Amino acid sequence: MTDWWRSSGPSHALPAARGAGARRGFGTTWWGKAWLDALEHQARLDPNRLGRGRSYARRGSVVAHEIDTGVVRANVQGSRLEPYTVSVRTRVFDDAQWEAVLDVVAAQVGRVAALLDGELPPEVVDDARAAGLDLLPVAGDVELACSCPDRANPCKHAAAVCYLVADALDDDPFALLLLRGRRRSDLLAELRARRTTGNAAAPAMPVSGVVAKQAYARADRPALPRPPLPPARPSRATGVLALDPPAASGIDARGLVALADDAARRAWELAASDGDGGLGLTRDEDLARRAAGMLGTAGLAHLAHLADMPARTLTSWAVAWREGGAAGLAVAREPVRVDAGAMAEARLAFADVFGEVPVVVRANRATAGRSQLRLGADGQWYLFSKQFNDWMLTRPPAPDPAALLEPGRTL
Amino acid sequence: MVVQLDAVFVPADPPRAGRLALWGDTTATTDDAVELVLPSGSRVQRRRVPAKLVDVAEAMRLLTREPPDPMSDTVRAWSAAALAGIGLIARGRIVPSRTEAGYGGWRVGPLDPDEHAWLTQLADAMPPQAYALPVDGTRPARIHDPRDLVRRFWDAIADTLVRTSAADLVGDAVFAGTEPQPLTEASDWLHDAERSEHGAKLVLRIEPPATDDESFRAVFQLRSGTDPSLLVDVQDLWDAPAAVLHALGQQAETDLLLSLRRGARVWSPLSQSLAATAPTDLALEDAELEGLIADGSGLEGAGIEVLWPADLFTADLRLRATATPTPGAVTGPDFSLNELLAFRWQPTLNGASLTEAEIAALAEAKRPVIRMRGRWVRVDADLVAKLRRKQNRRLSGIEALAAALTGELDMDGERVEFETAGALQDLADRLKLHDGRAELPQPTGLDATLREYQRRGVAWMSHLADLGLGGCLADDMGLGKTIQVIALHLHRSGTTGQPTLVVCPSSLLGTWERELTKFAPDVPKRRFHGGGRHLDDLAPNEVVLTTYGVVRQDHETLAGRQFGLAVADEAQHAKNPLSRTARALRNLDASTRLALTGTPVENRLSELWSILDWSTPGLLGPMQRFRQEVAVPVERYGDPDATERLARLTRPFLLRRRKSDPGIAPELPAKTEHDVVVPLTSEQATLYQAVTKETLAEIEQRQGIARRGLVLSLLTQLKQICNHPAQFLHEPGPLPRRSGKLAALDELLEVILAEGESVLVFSQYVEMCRLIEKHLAARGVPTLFLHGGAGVRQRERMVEQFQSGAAPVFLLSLKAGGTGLTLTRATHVVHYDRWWNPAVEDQATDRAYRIGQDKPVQVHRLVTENTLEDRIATVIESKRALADSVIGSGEAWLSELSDTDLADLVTLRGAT
Repeated sequence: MTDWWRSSGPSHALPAARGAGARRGFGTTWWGKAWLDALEHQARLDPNRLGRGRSYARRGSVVAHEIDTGVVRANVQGSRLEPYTVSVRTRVFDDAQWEAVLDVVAAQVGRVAALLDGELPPEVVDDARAAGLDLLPVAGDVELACSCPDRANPCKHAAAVCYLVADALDDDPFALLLLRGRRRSDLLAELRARRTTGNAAAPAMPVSGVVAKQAYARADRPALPRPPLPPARPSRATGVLALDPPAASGIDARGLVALADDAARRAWELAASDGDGGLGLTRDEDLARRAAGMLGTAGLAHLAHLADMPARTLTSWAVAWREGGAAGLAVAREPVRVDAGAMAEARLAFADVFGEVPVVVRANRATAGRSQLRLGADGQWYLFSKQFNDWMLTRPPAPDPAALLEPGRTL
Repeated sequence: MVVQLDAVFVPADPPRAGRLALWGDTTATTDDAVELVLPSGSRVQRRRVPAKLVDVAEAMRLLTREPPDPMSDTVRAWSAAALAGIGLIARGRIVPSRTEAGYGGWRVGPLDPDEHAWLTQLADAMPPQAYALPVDGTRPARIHDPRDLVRRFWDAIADTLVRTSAADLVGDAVFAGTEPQPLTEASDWLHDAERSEHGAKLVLRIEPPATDDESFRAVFQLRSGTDPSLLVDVQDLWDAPAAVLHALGQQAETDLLLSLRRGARVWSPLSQSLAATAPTDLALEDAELEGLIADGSGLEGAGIEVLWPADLFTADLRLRATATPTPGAVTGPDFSLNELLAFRWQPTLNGASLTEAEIAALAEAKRPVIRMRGRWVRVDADLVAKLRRKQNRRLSGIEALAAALTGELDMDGERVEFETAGALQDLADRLKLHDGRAELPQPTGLDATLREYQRRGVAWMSHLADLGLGGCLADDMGLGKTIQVIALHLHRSGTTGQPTLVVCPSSLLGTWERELTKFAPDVPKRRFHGGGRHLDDLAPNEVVLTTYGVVRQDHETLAGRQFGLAVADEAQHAKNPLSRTARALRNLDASTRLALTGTPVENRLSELWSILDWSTPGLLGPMQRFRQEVAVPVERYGDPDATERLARLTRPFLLRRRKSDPGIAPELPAKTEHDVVVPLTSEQATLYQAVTKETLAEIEQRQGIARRGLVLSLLTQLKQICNHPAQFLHEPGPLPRRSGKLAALDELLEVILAEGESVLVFSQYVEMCRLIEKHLAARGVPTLFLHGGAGVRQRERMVEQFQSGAAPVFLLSLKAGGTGLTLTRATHVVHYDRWWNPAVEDQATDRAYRIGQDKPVQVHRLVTENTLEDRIATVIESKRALADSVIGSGEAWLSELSDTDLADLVTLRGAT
């Protein structure tokens, strides 16, 4: 529920993990550096602790940290088994002070854009300072606390956390504003409100619709345009790709992309080929269909987990869907009672291709060795083969069971 | 009579809750209604109209798959809208949104200028009834803006399509579940995405360099969201922000920066501009330029437009495919379909072939755009790759022929221009010219005079056969397809010395045999059907008649024989390419395959594919590709290019003449009659034999009136059995697959109804009429039934209904339908059973064929083979002169026959 800063890297790993052991610097942006300068200055750190704090940060000893309004909380693994608890508190602005800051930022849209772009324009800090407010922490603004027995202020644990905060600030200047008490989403909303109310009034809502009498009075209507031909293949939903829902929205960006891409693929099927675009599928069928697109990827196991079923079952469903669609899935699942005469065809097919082999017929399934012919409700034959302990559909169905069996193959 | 439904979309929030309202059916009983503003005289009036409300999924199915027939203009408009909306989503134009009511929803967007223009065109062409939904509280009354309503329909499609039944496993319930869910948390990010469509848009204007050594540049511009013609350089925004913001709106700068940010996520070269303080343009690496050209950048989806210099696209560099005989192949002067051809690329610039030096320069090209003949020419990386790749591809003869006919070749799903010369081109030209216009002399041995169009038909088939190709003769029923095939057999069997195989539904087997006997009495023929069938000692000019069922069962025997000509009659029977029948049919070995059908195949493209893929294998390519590239564009989108391509490809192989064609109609006699000879089912044969045996034995014992009574009763029973076992047994059913006649009637009706014509069906038995009525009702064929018990008023009303087209089938019992009715709408008459009195039959036939009839009438008399019906028909035929005197009095003469003669007449022959 907190709007804390999050790493913009590929994972949510802590910054230190990015370059574990590497001798890299902290505070690479001017404001990140300003943060460290202020702290070093304020605390009159002895160079010894400073160096150890830095290597703690590099080593990944800060096991968890989060930035919230006016405070950074972190756990640092020290020499003891239990991690130490560190908090870094900054002075937050009150509402009136924030009004002044917002005035400064909103003065030029370019400043907002720069913030959006991850940049803290120096003139924003300068102008705020002119209004008597320091966006960057100054001596006395920052209060450090650690549960370790070291009396030094800051101790190496608190110092390590401060270095990581500098990393966070480098990544996103909004983290600095968060330390002063305002969340990014709130700030943007307030700035947007200023822009719209501060400028010309919003255009009046036009009267919607068209006058009915005029519409009917029109005599000359052109011919309907032909609908554009569908594309040769479906495109990715790039409009969704470009979206970046903030963590606070609780919306998973990858999920949105997956949903939209899937809809685009099915729309293409509706537009360019046959079928109902997947709208008539049962939940299991839809699950198998989605899984068929994930065969061979880690996504399938994840989907199976979400669907609360074993991954190998979902794999066999997915394969059945790929080879035989809905009818393939149905035949992969429950055995169904069929006319015994119908199964004679399967016996014949086995005998034709493999000669005298024992064939066991149960319901709509005829098994010989590791091969199994199943008769689908659509009257087609499906060849399954046993892989480990699961029967897998091997290929698309055929009306003639013998056509599915290859003479060269062993049973 | 026939109801034309109108459609209007009723939007809702969330979008997927919208409904398509179908209204205008005054007969429908529905509780649902829709409020509309409709014209009333010169004014408009708000009215509640009964309507059927269907959900979005059903609306999509209805509008894109099975549009109601006939289609109203409003349904047509919404159908176009549905296809366009689905097409947009297929192009990836789908984004999540927050609906007005605060729910999570999906929208179609962003639209590019062309798509906006199409929407405007559609809105402009929509009849107002399609958007007649009132806007509440407006005076004068207003209805929805059509553009707005179409967009809301598109949003409804997007919002429905995403949420399949397991979607909620993949994404959050707000955007994946079917229940409406409010978006509780911050949704500014969605708002931004939404606004970007209306705000200023980033445009990358591509500028070619002054010299070859420099790189291309993308100059940043902003296009106004409200006035798309207003385009401003981003440079101006930095130079004079106040003026630009005034023109583009105060948000323009934010729009720009957000666009850059968003663009950089899908196309990384933009990120360097994000780092700049005031970016105005971007130098493009060649690879980046290529990415933009190939449109693989995804910028479009991020709402960023790419503008190209005009001349980059006027220089049209493309590859043309050619085919030449494979090196070392022995080729004669004529093209052979068994030949393999070598494939080659020929690059052209604006239609002109490139020189060898230019081709070399092209193959070496390292950048995506080169200077050639004094201008910038866009070079597709793909094109260069194709040129460089060694071409090992070989074209099969039929593939090359299809390419030569259409001028296009399918290369891995891509259509490329095809040009050829030599023998292949000659063949294509000959096929194009010979479309059934040339005539053939009357074949010797044909005991009939062919009409002119029939001679042309035979010439056309013969021409194809000479070239080693097959085809489909799809003349209307009644134009004499059978006689044309018989003439073709006579014409060719002399030269090929190989027998002909005719495959037909079993109900047509007898008819084929009769016609062969009648028109080519000297041609040896045999039925390969029933017990004891064999193909031993086939004469070289023999005709083998068989059925689809036998082809399926005896496929190995048949596939082992070489035939000169294989004919599939009523070829639509094998339209499912997966069926065993179709596979067995494909395995037949014949130099020429000919399909016959009377149904309008040109309107049923999947059927056309199956038929031509059998007669001319490979011509139309694989089914899947044909569906996607031809059938769907033609059927669903009315695409003129695909229609033309299909026509060019099929024209040489498909000959279809209509009875109504100006060149054909004058040649047709006003009335043609023919017997449809049908077999008994085994149930019928068993009953027939049992009744015959039992009753004949009894007749021998009797004399006088008692004997006469028994004879007449025997005749009646046998006729009932021939009609349908259910009639004889006085059962209500089941009806299908028990009677040869009913099966033959189904066959006839299939073709007649497909041609959109009407038919009178006569029987002397009211009971049989009722059975047919029931049978057709179960198949959804509307019928009228007139029997003797109908009053004058009722008769008049039914006649009126039939003449106005309310039902295509009119069943009449002999007594009721014989006299005094004018039923000229019918162009076909079926006599389901015989009454052996030509005068009575003619009188019935005349209901259709009389003054007022301007079209030829066909009379089909159903006769069960080897039964008394068959025998008596022959007797009558041979004693036509005596007809009136001997048999004019009905069936009484039969009762005067001796026991031997009677037994001879009624005993079922040829049955085992």
